[in-house]
Amino acid sequence: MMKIAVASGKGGTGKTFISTNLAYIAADQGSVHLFDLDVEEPNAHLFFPERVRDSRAVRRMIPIVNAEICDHKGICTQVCEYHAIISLATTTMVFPELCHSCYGCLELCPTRAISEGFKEIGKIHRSDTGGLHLITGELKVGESAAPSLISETKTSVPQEAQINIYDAPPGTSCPVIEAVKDMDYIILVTEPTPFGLHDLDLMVQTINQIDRPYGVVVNKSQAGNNLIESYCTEHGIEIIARFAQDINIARAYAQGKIVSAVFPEIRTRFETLLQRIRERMI
Amino acid sequence: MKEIVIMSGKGGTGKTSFTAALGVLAGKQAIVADCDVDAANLHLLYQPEILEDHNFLSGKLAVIDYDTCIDCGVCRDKCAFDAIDLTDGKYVINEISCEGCAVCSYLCPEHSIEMKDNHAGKWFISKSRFGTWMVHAHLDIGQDNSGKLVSKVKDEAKKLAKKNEIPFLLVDGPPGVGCPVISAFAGVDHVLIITEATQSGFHDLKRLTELIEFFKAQASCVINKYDLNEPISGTIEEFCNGHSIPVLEKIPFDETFYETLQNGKTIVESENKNLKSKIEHIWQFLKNVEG
Amino acid sequence: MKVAFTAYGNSWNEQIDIRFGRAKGFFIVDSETEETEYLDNRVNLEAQHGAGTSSAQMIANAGVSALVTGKVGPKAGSVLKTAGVKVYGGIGYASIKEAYDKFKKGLLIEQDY
Repeated sequence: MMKIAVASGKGGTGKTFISTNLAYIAADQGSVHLFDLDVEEPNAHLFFPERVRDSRAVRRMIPIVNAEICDHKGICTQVCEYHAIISLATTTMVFPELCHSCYGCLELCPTRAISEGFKEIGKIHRSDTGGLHLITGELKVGESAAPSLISETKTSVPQEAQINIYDAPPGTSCPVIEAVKDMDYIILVTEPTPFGLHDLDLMVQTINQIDRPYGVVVNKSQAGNNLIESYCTEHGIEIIARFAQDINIARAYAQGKIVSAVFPEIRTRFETLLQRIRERMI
Repeated sequence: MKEIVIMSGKGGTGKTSFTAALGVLAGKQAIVADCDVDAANLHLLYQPEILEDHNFLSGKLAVIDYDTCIDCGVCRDKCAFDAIDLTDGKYVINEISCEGCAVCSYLCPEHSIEMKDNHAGKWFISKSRFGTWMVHAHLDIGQDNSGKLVSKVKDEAKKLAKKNEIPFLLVDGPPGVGCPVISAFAGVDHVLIITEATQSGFHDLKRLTELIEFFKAQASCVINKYDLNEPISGTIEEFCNGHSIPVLEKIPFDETFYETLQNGKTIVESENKNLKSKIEHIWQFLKNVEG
Repeated sequence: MKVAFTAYGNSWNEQIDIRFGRAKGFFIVDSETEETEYLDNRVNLEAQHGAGTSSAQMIANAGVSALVTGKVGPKAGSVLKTAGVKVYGGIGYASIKEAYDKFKKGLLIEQDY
């Protein structure tokens, strides 16, 4: 069994292009689980439009105020750093989307009027296409608890598949670290622009905090452009694959197609990429 | 002063590239504010000289006073975020995991934990290589964005524009349609939407339009990469016509667009006259919108 | 009755700030006496999260019955509703004076949350 994460410093670099195609060709070599951990905007499912087999809700603690005991003195409001519990003259309101489940109000309420309740923070969906199982974490709109949903999504199915691929959220904050921290290999997707380079550098700084093997995939590469190459040489990072800028690829992708299923030469490139990752892991 | 904000909904539509190019055309007539603080990229094209830098504080962080700490471990037991580790007999705050909830500080029997302001990043006033002023920000690794930094960058840019009697403020807006976007809407005269011919581009355009209509703001639209999916591009045009949002330009998927960026240049610095004249046309329109 | 306006500063001529939670301040008018007061909102402006709910509580505690602003989010809206504060939004850009005149003439539309 191996675990590969696909990550990028910013949106729009082609992270989902890499993860969906890699999963698609890997499914010919063994069972594959593709985890969509980009929980705020999961979109891997757009490329595998099969019916969802099952969905389940993920929950988290929120406070419940017992109106008969509460004296509306507002200690809870004073201690809540997130303004998630608001005490008015005759009532106290809880805002689940703002609550970080820190238990502060429960601990500090002088009348013990607050008890543990639960709220849904999102859903985990599963669907199948032949040897490929897609597991999607979907955060509710306006919900901030991405890291807990990501960790639930990662552990929501027994990891019996031979290859597990994880589409990580973009950026460099907590959700990304949660998604990639226990991987066998991390693919960092970037593009050869100053934007791509800047975000790659932030990503490298983030990954260096967790000490996992990683390499770079240059998407939309162009002959004669060595922006990413120079950076990687300087920092001793391997470029594990390149995908050229091509309007036909962009068009097929924009129409929701798996590019490897349409263009055999792209398929070969992904097979080589997977083979290289296997070699790097031994 | 006229304030124009450039928005896109989803990332990757070319919003920053257009903002940068418009800023070059405006020259000393405009201040550019980079409110896309999650992916603050404008400075990469402007390579500005930083004139002022300021710390940006946001949220709290727990700090243990080891002179009074009795190693009781209450803090670790009560921390809901597993942000306190026991290392070599000492309780240590993990700064990445700490969410600043202050529960440990309230419950520490010795009052040994203080909540300090968290350093979340920096914001800058700079001058670009074209002489255009810009206000921008940088978040530290692991820090989240909120409407707060967007408000800060925009308010500072506004102050600067007023003080120096600069007629235009161009704002590179944050992505999405959430709280930071609403912060960016405050006080705008015109919204320029950069969308692309994809389903998700259209989806986000519709959500942005709802906000624009709610705020009774004026708006116009540019469809980038319109030839990637011409049926959707057509649907977007119809939608815009139906909502009194003029479509200023349709830009084809263009290699030079991309090449120029690769060289760290803005698209008005490219050799592509066609592309350049389209951007000039957009700027002419924006210059004359009513304040 | 007290009417609050989200404002850029403490004057009738200031513009309405269309932000609610991150408004610079609240300009409050007593519609019987036309006496005014001003609440600085720096605390909430500086908040990392939950600026809306916290500002709503501040308005409710100030004894305000009506609020004129740009857009109130759903969470702050429900605090205001529970506290019995009516919200008038979506007026675009106007000075407090203009907005207050419109309010008195009943030209502003109440927002439902």
